[in-house]
Amino acid sequence: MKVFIAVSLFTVAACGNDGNSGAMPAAAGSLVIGAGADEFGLKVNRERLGRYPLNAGICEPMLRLTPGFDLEPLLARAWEYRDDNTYRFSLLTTPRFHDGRPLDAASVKFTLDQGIRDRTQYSFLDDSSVRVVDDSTLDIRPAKPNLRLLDQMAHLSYGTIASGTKARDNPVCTGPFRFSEYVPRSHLSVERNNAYWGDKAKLSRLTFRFIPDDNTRALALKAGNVDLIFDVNRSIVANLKETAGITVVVSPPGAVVLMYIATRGTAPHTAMSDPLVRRAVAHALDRRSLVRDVMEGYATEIATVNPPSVLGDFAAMIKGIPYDPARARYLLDSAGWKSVGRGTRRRGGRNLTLTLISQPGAVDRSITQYVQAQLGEVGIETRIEDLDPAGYASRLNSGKFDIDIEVPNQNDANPAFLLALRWYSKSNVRSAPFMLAGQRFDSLVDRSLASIDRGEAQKAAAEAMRVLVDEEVAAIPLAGISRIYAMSSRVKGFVPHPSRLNQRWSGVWIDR
Amino acid sequence: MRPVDAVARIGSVLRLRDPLAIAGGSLIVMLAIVAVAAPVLPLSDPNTIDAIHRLDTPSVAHPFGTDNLGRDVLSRLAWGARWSMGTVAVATVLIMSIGVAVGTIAGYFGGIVDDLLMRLVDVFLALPSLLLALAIGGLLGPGFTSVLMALVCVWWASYARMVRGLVVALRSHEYLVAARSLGGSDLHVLVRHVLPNVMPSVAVLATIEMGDLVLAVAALGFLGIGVQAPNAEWGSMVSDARPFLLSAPRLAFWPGLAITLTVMAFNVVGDGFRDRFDPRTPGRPFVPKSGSRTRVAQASSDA
Amino acid sequence: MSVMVGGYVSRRILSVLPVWLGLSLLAFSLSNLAPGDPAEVMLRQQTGEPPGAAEVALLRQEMGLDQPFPIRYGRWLADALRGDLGESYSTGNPVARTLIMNLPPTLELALSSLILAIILGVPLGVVGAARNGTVIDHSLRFVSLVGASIPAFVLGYLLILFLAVNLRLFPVSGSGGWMYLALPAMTLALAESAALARLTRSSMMAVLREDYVRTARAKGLRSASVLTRHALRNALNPVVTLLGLRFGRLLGGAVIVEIVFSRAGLGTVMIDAIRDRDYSMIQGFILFIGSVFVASNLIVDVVYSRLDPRVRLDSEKEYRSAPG
Repeated sequence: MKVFIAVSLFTVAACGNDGNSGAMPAAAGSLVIGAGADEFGLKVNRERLGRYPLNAGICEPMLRLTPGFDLEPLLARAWEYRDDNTYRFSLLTTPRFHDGRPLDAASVKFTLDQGIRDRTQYSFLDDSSVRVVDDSTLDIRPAKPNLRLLDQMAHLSYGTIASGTKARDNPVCTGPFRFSEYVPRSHLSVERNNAYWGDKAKLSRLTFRFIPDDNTRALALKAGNVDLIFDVNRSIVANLKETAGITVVVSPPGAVVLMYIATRGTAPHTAMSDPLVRRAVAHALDRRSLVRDVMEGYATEIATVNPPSVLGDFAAMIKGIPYDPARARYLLDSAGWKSVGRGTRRRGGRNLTLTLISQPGAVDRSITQYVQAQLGEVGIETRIEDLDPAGYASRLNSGKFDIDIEVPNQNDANPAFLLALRWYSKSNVRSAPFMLAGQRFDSLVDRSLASIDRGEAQKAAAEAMRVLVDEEVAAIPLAGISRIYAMSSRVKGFVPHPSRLNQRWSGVWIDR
Repeated sequence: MRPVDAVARIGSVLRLRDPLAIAGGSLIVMLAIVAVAAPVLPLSDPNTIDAIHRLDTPSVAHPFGTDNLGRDVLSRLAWGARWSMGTVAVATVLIMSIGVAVGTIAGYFGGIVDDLLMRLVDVFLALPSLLLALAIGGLLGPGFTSVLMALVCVWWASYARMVRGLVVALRSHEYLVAARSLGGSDLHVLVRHVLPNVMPSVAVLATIEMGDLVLAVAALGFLGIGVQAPNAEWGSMVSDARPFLLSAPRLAFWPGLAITLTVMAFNVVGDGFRDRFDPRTPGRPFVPKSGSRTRVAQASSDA
Repeated sequence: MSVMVGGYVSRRILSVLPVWLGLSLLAFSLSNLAPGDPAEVMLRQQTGEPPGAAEVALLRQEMGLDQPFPIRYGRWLADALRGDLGESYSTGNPVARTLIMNLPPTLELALSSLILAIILGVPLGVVGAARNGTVIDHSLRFVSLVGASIPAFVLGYLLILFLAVNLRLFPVSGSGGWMYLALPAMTLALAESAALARLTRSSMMAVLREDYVRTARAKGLRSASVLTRHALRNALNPVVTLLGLRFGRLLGGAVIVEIVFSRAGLGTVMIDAIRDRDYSMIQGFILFIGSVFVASNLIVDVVYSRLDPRVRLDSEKEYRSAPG
């Protein structure tokens, strides 16, 4: 009997020439991942269990985001633009849901409708937007002009769930893993979908253990409690690298540490409405030292507000404003903010004091404190306010800040995603009116949203970003950051995706 | 004056007999001096960032090394003492004032006023103190005032209860009855006769509870509800040092040790005071009861 | 006799009612005095985006937030009496159910550390009393002083570094079987065992000075037998009382420990609620914890009054409760 199994395994291995076989045992083990905090506790996220903000490989959208932030087909076989703001998608017929039912257009509609009902969609969809043409064809027509819909359909939020199922308790989807168990604040587990329509996963089981604290996560890896951890704190990387049996893997930049500026802040937050002061702030920040010294080299200098690759060949159009403290002092002087000795600059009896808001969980304190120190060098006093999410939102939405530092992620292929969300006058985000970047910026974003051709959309977005960063200085990119993973050296086949949400797990296995 | 004498002097001023309590008292006096004098001490600026010299190991310039932003750890510890001790001191004054006021009013006037105030005290004592402080601090948002509010809201009640008990006992004392019958106003009687009798016990309680306050301030700081960046506070220093637990454990060690030693100091002094002024309370046996020979021997070895 | 006890118990229960009412008022007003608009928080949590002013106004009306404070409080209290603490603003789950579901892990932690503290603390206290004034006594005294003074978040990380990372004896963090419970329980138990050792020691010393112990010793009974048979049994009375009263402190300590060890329980619920400005959860939490605490004190009192009738006389004069 034993001989037989060995022989048949050998045969399978020898016959499998499709590139991903190798000498893989049938069950390649169970992987325990130390993930961050459990974000499915929030009602708005619970409906997207296993999809967003943590993708467990259960569900699949119609399109897929490549590591280069480009699109490739997934559940959709083909698509076309049919005029009148409408896209038509043709679905594959082979994929089956975990309950055995075949993939159908009704389920895609069910998924998008759920997003409309829960207000988690961000593509201007309304109740009449999604129309089923036949079992494997559907039309989507956003309520407002939005040709970037295609780029957005790669977002995991739109991961297709089987019609009529309850996604909050048991997401039934088409992915390489099927839902197994979710214990709030403890873990989410999935198991291999043996009937998967594509290349089947190598691992038999995947468990995401929620460990909110960066340091505890790293210690859990060192202690051998977990096999792989997310979001390794930069300060721990060196220590983990020295540890035998642990490998550190870094993704290409997928997010940006970004300084948002209140160009139209509520009084008294008006100092940054002066373009000279904004430019001076940009000149005052030594981003090379930030990347090299404070962020210990696990970051890149960047001029764009999102990962450059989403702009294709046009990313080079944005230059960024160089570090030049002398120039910063000169600009502040000419703006009327005069300094006495090394103290804070004053104008008309008022100190040049900026309020910097951030959420300590989202932005490393060392970054905000570094910015504070650098602005101090040119005579700008900075008051850091570390806020909780609610306090943060209320300050942002009332324009009561001068500077805001966040780390926006790019999770779809839309080059104008962040632009249209944060600085665009037609954005329905409540903080946008306090950060506007002007009419020229708006019309360029309009153009990007209205371009059918992706290249044109990228070009218009890049031009808008040049206005935003180089001309208006309404945003200052501080550093491009990568996803840092650490894992036991026995974990094989892990390829980091710059967008965490699009991380794929089916090629991963554990070597014994 | 030899150091041994200095320590003994401090002990005698504080009327402490236990060598451990004397050591604790000296530590507290030292911390208080550091806290008050931090701005004029020959230390580097605690908030100056130096990205080149980050995570430096101890050197002449930085005896305790530098933190992840190149700030001088020793200087941050000293300023941390200022924040921690300052918060505890201000909170204690407020707590004592409120507690004594409420307790005195309740005990002296009695009746419905007493009933109402004491039920209020019961409510505040019906919650684990750290949890209530956390809830209040969390709801008010981070900052010095929130911490202060949280501490005062939580800790006033036990003072009020104790003071009330003392005042009730005093009320029937002959000399109080005499003072009143001689036509002294309530205020006069309270200030001249009641308060002086109550204050020693209040001071003892305050010392005993200060250790708990230091721990609470540190815990709130650790949870991000303390003073805000870039200012140093011991609890938040431990919290900030967590990512460096493996690479530079000293960053967490020093503030952790500072908190522990300070709480220890307050605990031993509190025990010493309790033993000195209020010998009936439990917990007293921490002070050795054996002959003076042992004490002298220990005093010299401790110093 | 039984009539008397029954009378005491019912009076004792009655005396808790005003406290509980005050507690509910405290809980409700705390979260209502806090800055920030619950309706806005709720909408933002549900949509993930900042809501418009009209939406906020509509929800304020739906939630009854435009009603005066006494009416809202009355309504909330009436619901609370039926066991309904409302819905969490951020998760949408019933508050009461979330709290009850997260109570067992916290109780588990608090109780196991209490047991651990007894196992550690009582024998140390006895040894300290028996070897009064010796090097052993002084070292024990010093160790328990350190134990009572070291913050849980410092001790927790020390234990993680040595026992979990270096020696790999226990998992670093998380929830699960007893293996996961070990480090958090040790962290929480150390301070508690220090307090217990100290009380046991003082109580033992007091008993050892009593006449009957001296007599027993004079009669030539062996020291160990005197200690355990005569002294310890009497010395443990105040210790038992203290246990019940320290419980609130343990619950409070459990919160910090849960955060250090990323352990599911009421602590992490509380921290999340504070982070998310989840007012309905925070006020429910305060009332819930307060009720658990008041109830545990009540049970200790009643049980103790059955064991030792003298207690009733003291307790009736002044309702006992320990600052936690």
